[in-house]
Amino acid sequence: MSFQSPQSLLWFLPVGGFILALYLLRLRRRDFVIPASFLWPEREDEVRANSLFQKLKFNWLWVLQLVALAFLVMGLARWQMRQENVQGLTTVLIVDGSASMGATDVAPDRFGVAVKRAEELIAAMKPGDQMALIEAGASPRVVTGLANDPARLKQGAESLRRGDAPGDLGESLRLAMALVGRDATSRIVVLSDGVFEPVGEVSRGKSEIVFEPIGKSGANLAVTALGTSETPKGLQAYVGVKNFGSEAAQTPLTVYADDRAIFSAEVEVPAGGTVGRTVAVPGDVSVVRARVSEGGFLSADDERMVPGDPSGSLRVLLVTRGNLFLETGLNLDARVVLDKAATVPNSELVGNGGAGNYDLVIFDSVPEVAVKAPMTVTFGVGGKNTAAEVGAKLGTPDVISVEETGVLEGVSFEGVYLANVYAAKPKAGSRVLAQNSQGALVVQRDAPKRQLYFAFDLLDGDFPLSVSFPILLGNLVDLAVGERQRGFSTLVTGQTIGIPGRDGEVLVVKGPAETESVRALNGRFTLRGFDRVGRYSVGEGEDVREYLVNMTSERESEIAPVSEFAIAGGEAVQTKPMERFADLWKPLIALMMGVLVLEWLVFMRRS
Amino acid sequence: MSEQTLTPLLDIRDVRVLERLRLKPRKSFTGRVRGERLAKEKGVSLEFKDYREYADGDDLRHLDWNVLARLGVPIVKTYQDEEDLPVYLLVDCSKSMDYGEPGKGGAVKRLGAAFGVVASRAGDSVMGMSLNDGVNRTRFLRGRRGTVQLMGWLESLRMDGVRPVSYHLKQAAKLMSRTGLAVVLTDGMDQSLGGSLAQLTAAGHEIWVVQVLSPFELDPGIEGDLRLIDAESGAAVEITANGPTLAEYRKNLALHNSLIEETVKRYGGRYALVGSDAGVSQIFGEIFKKGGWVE
Repeated sequence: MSFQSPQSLLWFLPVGGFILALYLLRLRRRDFVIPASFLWPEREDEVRANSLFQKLKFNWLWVLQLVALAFLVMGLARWQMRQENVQGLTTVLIVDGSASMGATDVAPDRFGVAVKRAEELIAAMKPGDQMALIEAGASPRVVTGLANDPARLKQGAESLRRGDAPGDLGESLRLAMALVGRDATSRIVVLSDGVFEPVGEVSRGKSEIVFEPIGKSGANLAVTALGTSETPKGLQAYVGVKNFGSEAAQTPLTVYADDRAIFSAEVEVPAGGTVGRTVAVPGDVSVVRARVSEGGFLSADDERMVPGDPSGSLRVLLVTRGNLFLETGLNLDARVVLDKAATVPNSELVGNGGAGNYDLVIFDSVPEVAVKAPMTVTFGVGGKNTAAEVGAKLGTPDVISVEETGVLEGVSFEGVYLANVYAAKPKAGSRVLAQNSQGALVVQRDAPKRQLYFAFDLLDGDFPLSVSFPILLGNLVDLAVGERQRGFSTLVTGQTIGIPGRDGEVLVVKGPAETESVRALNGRFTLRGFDRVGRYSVGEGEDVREYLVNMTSERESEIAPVSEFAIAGGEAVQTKPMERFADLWKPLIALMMGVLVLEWLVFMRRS
Repeated sequence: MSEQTLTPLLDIRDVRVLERLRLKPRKSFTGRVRGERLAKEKGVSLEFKDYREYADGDDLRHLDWNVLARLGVPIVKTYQDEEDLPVYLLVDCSKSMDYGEPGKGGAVKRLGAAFGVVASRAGDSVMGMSLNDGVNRTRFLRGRRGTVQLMGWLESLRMDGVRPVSYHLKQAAKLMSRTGLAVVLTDGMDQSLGGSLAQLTAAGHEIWVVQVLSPFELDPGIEGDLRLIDAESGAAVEITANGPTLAEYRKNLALHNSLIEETVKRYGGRYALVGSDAGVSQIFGEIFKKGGWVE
């Protein structure tokens, strides 16, 4: 309870003093001659005066007038108090639509509770309030922009969807900031279980962030590992089950080969621990699937699928002194099994016995050496095995021309800042895919093995921050996978992939829940709809590609709700009651009027 | 005689009504002259004094049949030694009587004139006594001449006494040597009125009190913050005239009036409360006649 304008309270002193002064002054009454005075009672209900002072006598009239004045002054001082369950004048509701919100520790599930809460808040809007609705899924989206139309907002709330992918709360907060960040009276309400990756680089601006946590339990078991491998004993599958809860749990574990159970056992997993099982898999299996049937409150991670053919995955060795962009980008591609090393292991060097373990070796600002892998990609400094003759650094290039085909399809260097490029000339058998004012920028050689050279260091410019970077990585993986693309591939929920296509061509994507059509644009289909776990088929007829989509985020599996989270600068956003200051001047003025009416009834109406 | 010239206090219609009435005291009094009332003592005088028109109740033995036969008008003879009724008209002339609309002073003068007419028509003796500073009174007046004198006296009264009516009543009582009917015409605005009335009855008088109040006094239409000035004493009372105040005033007035009435009736007298706006015919015809004051 507080006053917006406390200095207005001071008005009570002079005005109240003035009222009392009137009662301290004697009343100048009108003289009236009567035959006899003894019949008249000496009654002075009201004392107003403009002449001599008298002793202040108790009188309900001046008491009521002071009470009325007190109400008036408190109204002028904008007396206000906190009221629960109402929003600020401008509110952005962020509803977490990530995988963990599918946990059923609250009925019907966390997401259902969040949507219901959003609808309650929409229904509680007051005239003049504005509200926006953001769905914090894998790709955050503004469901309803700022509006004071409850019907539209309710419609937006009904259209909210949850996926099995990790949510991006940071991006959702940035969207909210863009909407209301400059409004000091605004607040951003996060309806979530707090299960998301740490939020960084987000400033709250002038808005207040209110976190309303949802969920009660962290009990969850998940299949966190499933892979197949050729062994001397034949094809083997490894299954890992992790307990994310705080107490040991038991669950039946079943492994299926093309929907045929090949293993079933009761496994007991200690709190926070992982239990693994190795299962022999028949040789002609397309899909291996592992499932825990009592996997706790979250079902999205109860099952995992991989292709029966272990070659379906692309084994990549990243040789680097450290590059978060490359590591993150490659790890996001479910087709990739990534290993990182500062130097190439001897077993992968040409000349040592045996076959190599990697399909692709990437040299990140490390001189390229001859490796057994069928494909190499080199950024920055070259080597004697590089597809181009690489010289010294030449500074920032002026003009760049790009042949947007093949590995550079959809990749643009326009607007990209490259601090230095290396002087590069293609070797025999190599061809230039991109040219800068100083020489070749991207060189490709396909024989004796496929080699690509990029004449710049990734960390020496802002190319990794451009939209072209993930496209380039996708193209490189596509190129490396090559013919192995046929058959099953694995994806993680929320992943976006690109498939070459002709503009206007339509691709049909059939998922476990729904079918959608995607139209090619700029020479490729951009597929973003892998938001639920399960099998997806892309395309029709002989050209169909099968994808096995898993929820692999351990952060999402760790469903224990949190009471606070941190944003930029380590500032903690804590659970707060949703409340705002309610201005009480209207009821105060009503009270004042009520007192005046009471005074009139008591003192005036009876005269 | 012409009734229109008798007094401006009464109009001819009032006089005609009044001439048919005569006072009806509860007690019998010994008169000094022969009147038309039956004296307590035996012995009759037949000395002729005057004629007057016949009124209901007159003894038919005194009807002048000759005049009736000649003029067709019933006239009765009055005799000098007929026992009369001493009637004292005690008129409150305090300042409080100079109040109201219509004024109480005018009302008591009219009532006094009416009593005078009724009494004189019945052959009673009337003495006017003003209850004022220095009691102003007439001698006992009888007959037409006496009535004219009484009217003149009434017209000359000024309502300017500053002392309470009870004081003047006590003074007047000392001057009322013959026991008779004491008609007190007052507004009763004196808390000690009861005591002075008791003093009158102790002297053997029958008291009739006619309390005259103005419409304002009966129902004050005032509001606001006032300083009430007592017309007689000059004392001031500060009030806020509102509902409760007026209700309390009405209650006090009713209590005060009932005390006067009780006092009067306790001593065998009569009491009536009339408004200053009431007509003489109305008062005598409706209140006094029905109440047995007159017949």
